[in-house]
Amino acid sequence: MLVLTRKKNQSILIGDLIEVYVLDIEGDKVKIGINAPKNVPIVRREIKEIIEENKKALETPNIALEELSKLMKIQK
Amino acid sequence: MKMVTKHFGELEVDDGDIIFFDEGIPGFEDLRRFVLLSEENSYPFSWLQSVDDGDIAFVLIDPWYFKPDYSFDIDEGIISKLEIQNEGDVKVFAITVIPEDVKLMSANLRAPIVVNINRKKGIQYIMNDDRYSIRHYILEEMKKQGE
Repeated sequence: MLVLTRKKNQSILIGDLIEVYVLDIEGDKVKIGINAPKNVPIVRREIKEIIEENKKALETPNIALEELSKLMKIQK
Repeated sequence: MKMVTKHFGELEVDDGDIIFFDEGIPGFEDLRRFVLLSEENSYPFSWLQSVDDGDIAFVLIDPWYFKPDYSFDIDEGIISKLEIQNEGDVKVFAITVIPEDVKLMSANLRAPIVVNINRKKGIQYIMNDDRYSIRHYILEEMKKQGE
């Protein structure tokens, strides 16, 4: 991974079209500003993971919740 | 209203039971209306059924059933968005992934479903808290509790 050190209000360029700014730093939080073409999707990493996990949650096998509930009680 | 669902076949939905997810659920932003459904003897599990798309239903679990010390703060912004006035308004569920090998079922504790049951408003709340991940293996967690 390329690692660069930047100060507040400095930026980096990714190609010619994407610019990432460090807008503010407070404790362990960094506020980031991004200029990018509209067709480049930008999401927080965890949101992408949550979207994938939500999609996975729909592939529920055909099992009655009552059966799952029993499984839990055995565990308890 | 009557609707056809994948899991329940034909379903009669009472308008008063509809919970509005104004931002949708990540990955399903177009679906705004859901109902909570439970089956006989299904606790701690229940369903979050989309009213807009009968094929879409999530299995939910009561997170405290397998993780009694689960706790998190809700942002002020979310509290006002959901019009939460007191703790009694709030119900929390975790979306559950059930794979073919059901023993490996997991729950997303990082992004719980938070519902104001009185105002009928809900959200999938993405918390900024590293204690919880999107995949907690439920039976494994229960074993840990027993130790």
